[in-house]
Amino acid sequence: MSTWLAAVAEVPGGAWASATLHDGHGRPAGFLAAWQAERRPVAGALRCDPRALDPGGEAAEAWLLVLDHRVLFDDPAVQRGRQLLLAHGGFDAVTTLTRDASTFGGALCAWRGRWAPADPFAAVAPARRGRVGPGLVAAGPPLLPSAIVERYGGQPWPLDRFPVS
Amino acid sequence: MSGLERLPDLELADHTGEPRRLSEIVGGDPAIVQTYRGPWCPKEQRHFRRLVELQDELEVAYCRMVSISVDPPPVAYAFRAGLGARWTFLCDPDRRAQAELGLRESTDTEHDPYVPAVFVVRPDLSVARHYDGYWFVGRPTNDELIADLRALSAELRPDWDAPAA
Repeated sequence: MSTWLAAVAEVPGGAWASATLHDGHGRPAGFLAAWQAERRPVAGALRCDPRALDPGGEAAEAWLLVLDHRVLFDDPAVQRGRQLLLAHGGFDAVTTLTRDASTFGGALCAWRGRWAPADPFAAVAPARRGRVGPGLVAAGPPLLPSAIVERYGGQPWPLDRFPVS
Repeated sequence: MSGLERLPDLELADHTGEPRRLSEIVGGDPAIVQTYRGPWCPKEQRHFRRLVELQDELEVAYCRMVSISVDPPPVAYAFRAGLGARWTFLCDPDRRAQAELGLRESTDTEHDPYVPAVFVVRPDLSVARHYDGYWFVGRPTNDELIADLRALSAELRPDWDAPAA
C-alpha cells in the first residue's frame, strides 16, 4: 500500500485526506488530496511519505514543488535539498514525491511558524508557496533519518525503513 | 567504564527540543551513538571535526549517528549548526540518562559531563563495539568506525552479497 498526493481542481471521492490550497496571494488554487492505494488513484498523483500527512492536521504554509520534467533522485541538487533539510529543519512536515523508483517528482515542505524556512529544493526548481487548509498536513517536527539522504528501496524520502518484501 | 551490552531506549529532547526515542533515531540501521563532554572541550572539538567528515559517508551508507551530551537544546543546536552537522543531537541537561547509563565523568565536578564514549549499536540497541574516549587516542578513527559498520551491515543486511546475475 502506498500513499499518494496530488494537486487537484476538485477532491475526487475516496481521498484519505484533503485540504484546500491557496496560492501565495491568498487566491484559491484547488485542493491537495491524498490516497492510500496500491495503484495511482488519479492522473498526476505521486507517492509520498504518509508520516507527513494527517487527516486531522491543522492548516499550514507550504512549499509545494511538482515537476513536469524528469529529474533523478540522484541529481546533486536533489541530494543537496535533502542535506539542507537535515541540517536546518524548521518544517512541520516534509515529504519528497516520487514519480517512480528513481524519479524525483517534487516535494511538500510545510510549516506553521511565523517565519518561512527556505525552499530546500530551490536549486532543482522554485516551489510554489501556498497555504494548505486543515485536514492534510501532520503536526511536526518530522523525524528525519540521522543523517541519511539515500532513499530506502526507492520509497519517498524521508521514509527510513526498507519495505518488507 | 561502562560495560553496557545494550543501550536503554532513552527518551530525550533533540537539539530542537522535540522529544525523541533513541530507538526511533537508530531505526533499522547500524548506528554510532556518541557521548561527549561539551563544546568547550578541545578534544571534543577535534573529534567532531572527524565525525563531520564521516557524515558525508554515512549519509549514503544507511548507517546512522547520534550524539548525546548534558547541554540543553539551544546549546546543542548552536554547536551542531556551527559544526555543519546534519545528524541528531540529544540533550540530557538533568543528567537522568547519564545516570542510567553510568556515564558521568567523575573527575570533572565543574561540568559533570558525559564520559566521551562511542558505541556502535544494532537496531535493537545491543552494543557491537564500545570505545572509551577519556583519553583522546581511545576514540575510534573513522576507518575503525567504517570497519565496525561494515561488519554490522554484513550481519544485518540479508542482501549483503550483491544480487548479481
